[in-house]
Amino acid sequence: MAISLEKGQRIEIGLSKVSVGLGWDPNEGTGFDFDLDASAFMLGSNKHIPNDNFFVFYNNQKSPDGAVESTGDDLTGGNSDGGDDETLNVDLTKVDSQVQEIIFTATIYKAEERKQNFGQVRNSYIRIYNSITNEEIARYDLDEDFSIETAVEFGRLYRRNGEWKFEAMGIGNKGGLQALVNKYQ
Amino acid sequence: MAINLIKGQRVELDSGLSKLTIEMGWKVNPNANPPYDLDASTFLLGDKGQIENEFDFVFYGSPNKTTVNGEERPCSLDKSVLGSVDDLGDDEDDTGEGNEEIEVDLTKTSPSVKEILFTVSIYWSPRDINDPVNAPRVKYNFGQVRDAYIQIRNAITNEVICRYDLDEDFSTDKGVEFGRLYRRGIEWKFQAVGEAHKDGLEPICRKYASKFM
Repeated sequence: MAISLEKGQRIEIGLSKVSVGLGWDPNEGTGFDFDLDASAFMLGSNKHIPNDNFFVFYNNQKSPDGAVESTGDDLTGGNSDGGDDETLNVDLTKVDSQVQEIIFTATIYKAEERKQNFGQVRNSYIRIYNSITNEEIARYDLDEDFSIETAVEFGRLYRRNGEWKFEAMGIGNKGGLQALVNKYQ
Repeated sequence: MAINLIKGQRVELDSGLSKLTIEMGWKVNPNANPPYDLDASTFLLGDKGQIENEFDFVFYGSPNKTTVNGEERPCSLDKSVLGSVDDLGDDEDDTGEGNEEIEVDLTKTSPSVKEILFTVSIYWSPRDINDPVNAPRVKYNFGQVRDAYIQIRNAITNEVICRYDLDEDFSTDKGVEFGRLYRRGIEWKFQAVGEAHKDGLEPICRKYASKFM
């Protein structure tokens, strides 16, 4: 059963393999395609990425430790009809020891230029689930919860006493992926 | 105070609010010949994002009409949506300004209706291409329509609850989804949509009323 989410709610993980799924419907109108991207920032204890390779996104689809890997960039939302269009697979047993937390984000590519926001993207969501049992841990409906935003920090996996835990963040912004890169680089 | 929405934005309606007036307005070139004829239409959509019976596409050609204050108006099967009077685009006062009003009573909305979508389209016919009078209509589009908006008023107090001014050019499009009311849990929400379709009302019908086309 999926847990209903409050912002900042902490959920025990205690598991080794999770996946982050991002899904949305393609644009059926005459405007630009909706190109949503799932990304991961793997942060050291100083809350910054140790180097650029620990930022997993469409131009860097696998972290150097092999812990986070993208299944590929969907430019339109057409990969799946109703299901996840982009997935980040996470193997927590492989995470480099200097990484203390992993932040997952959803952003809209060229949102400003194309005048888009999550509210325009039908059935857009981001979720994290146990990829062994397929049990959903947390989910946000981006179109409902972040209708005027273009980027959201979905949640973070973090180390605590040798275990990995998940915390839902739900922080939206209007600056797209660049604002997040500026924050964590 | 009224909320000004941006494209895509979604707002929750107060739970006590059930009788709404949906007003859509625009300004067209009053000298266009033939005149611009804009039509407001409503689709009451079921679970699958489709109308479930033909009366739930409320437009100038609806078979289901009811007479209100001496005017014949199209109406949905559940009678929750009363369509606008077709005023041929510019309220016939030669200023080019037009608006149409649709009345919605959410207390009457059938439980099977999940969403009420409001569209505006520029009337034309594929036959216009070979018609000496109406041929210019083939090229009409929203790029020549100015100050288009949709606003929701409390039908009882007349207070404006929210408003969305369409700020895009849509210069190749004859049909635009302006906004939609939809159920979210037990609440109703409104979204400023602003999604355009090139050929007007016909592709919107193919999207939402496919089995009746």
